[in-house]
Amino acid sequence: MSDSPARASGRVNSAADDADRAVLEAIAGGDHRAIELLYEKYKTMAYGLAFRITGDAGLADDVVQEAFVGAWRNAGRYATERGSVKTWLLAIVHHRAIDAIRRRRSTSELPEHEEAPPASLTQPDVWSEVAGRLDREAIQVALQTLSAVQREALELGYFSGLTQQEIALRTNAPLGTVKSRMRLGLQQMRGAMLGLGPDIDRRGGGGST
Amino acid sequence: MSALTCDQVRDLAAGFVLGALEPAAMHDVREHLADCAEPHPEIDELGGVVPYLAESVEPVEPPVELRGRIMDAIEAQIRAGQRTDAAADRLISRLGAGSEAAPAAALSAAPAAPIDLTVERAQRRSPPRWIVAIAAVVVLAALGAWNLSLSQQLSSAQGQQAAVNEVLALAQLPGGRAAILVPGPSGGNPAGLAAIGPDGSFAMAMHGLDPTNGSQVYEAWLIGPSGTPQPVGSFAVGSDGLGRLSASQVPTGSTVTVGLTREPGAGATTPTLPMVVSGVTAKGS
Repeated sequence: MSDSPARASGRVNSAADDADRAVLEAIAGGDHRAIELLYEKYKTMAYGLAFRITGDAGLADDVVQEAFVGAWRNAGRYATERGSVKTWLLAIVHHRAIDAIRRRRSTSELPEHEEAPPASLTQPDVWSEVAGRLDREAIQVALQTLSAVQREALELGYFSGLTQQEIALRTNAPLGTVKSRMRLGLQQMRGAMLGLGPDIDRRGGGGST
Repeated sequence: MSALTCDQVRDLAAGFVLGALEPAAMHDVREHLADCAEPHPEIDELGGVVPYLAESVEPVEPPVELRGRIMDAIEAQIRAGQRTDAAADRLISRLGAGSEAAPAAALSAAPAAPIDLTVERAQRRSPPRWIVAIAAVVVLAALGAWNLSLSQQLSSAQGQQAAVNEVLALAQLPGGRAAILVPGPSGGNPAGLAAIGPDGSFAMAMHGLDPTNGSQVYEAWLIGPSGTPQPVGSFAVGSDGLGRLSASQVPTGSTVTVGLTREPGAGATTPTLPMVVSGVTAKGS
């Protein structure tokens, strides 16, 4: 709510979020064609994610279709505090894709359907300002700062849909080690991403506006 | 009560935000977070990173036809009345709202609409859901609460109740099917019920319709597996917004979508879109 220049810079991002939210409101209000606006904007990210997880073009088609139909159906349930519309949408794609590959693996039990991300993903201002301005290349740079085993743990958990126990079995590592790798990997990535946006970090995070 | 301690939740936090726990553990963490008075900043701290894993992925252009497939799927669901989860809740709450004559206990005696179901689960369980909704209507109708705002217009209210009873009678016959009719994307207040009996009898009871003018009518349609809407019959609506329709020799046996359109005159052979209300039949007994 501040008018300081530091906060104003964050509004670029939030204006885009506002536009996305307006589209979702239109969808929730019955304008189903508005989903095409979201599709056009996020289709390559959604499809890229679905394809990355499933490794199968046909399955990725199905996942993206289910995800956008799901977004249309659940537009009225989107809650601002769970993050941006993009985050919400990609979380749906991720969830559908993981479901699809777990079905393909015929694991005995699937997790309950959750359209939303598993946690409240509210983000501190500094974090969302910095992270929201990083492009894909910068995020990849941040990922490269992780150790190989940390990256592998995140990779197997997030993109391959394995549980920590399954990862422990697959990598021949104790469960506690897998847990640590995941935690440290996420913390390292967070730190690296914050480090990649020094100007914003200094203004917002250091309290030295 | 939470099955986990705060320390256990902290230990599981990274796996939780990545969705990399066993389903039971995911559930336990979620429960703990919902109940716990202690702050769990680690969830936000670690969880805030997860969306960027998704964004780290190389974008890929999807096949051109996917957009059309998605829109077709959505429009098929609209035609089939499948985004009716919330709409059915609204219908039930509207029927309940303003009906002071309907004691809360009677409402809760009918199984409450499970509003926390995800749509997928609701869809898989759609027949029970329709029946739950119908049961709620039965309770309300029995209490005379159906469209209570019109209770002063006693004759039309009684006529409406008779229409509702006719629908419910058909729905409750072995092999009978019923549909709750809720507004399409254009919204509005109309709502109602329709049923198809095992002998091909059809009944519909509507309320909240805009009055018809001149030769205008509301036409009911059945859309079966062929996808071609078949006209069932038509009726005019007065200032009370109520409408009813009885017909015979309609197709039985398969799940159909029941729809209602507003037409410039009787005898329409193709519907003038949009559908005013629609719903999919489910087993009523």
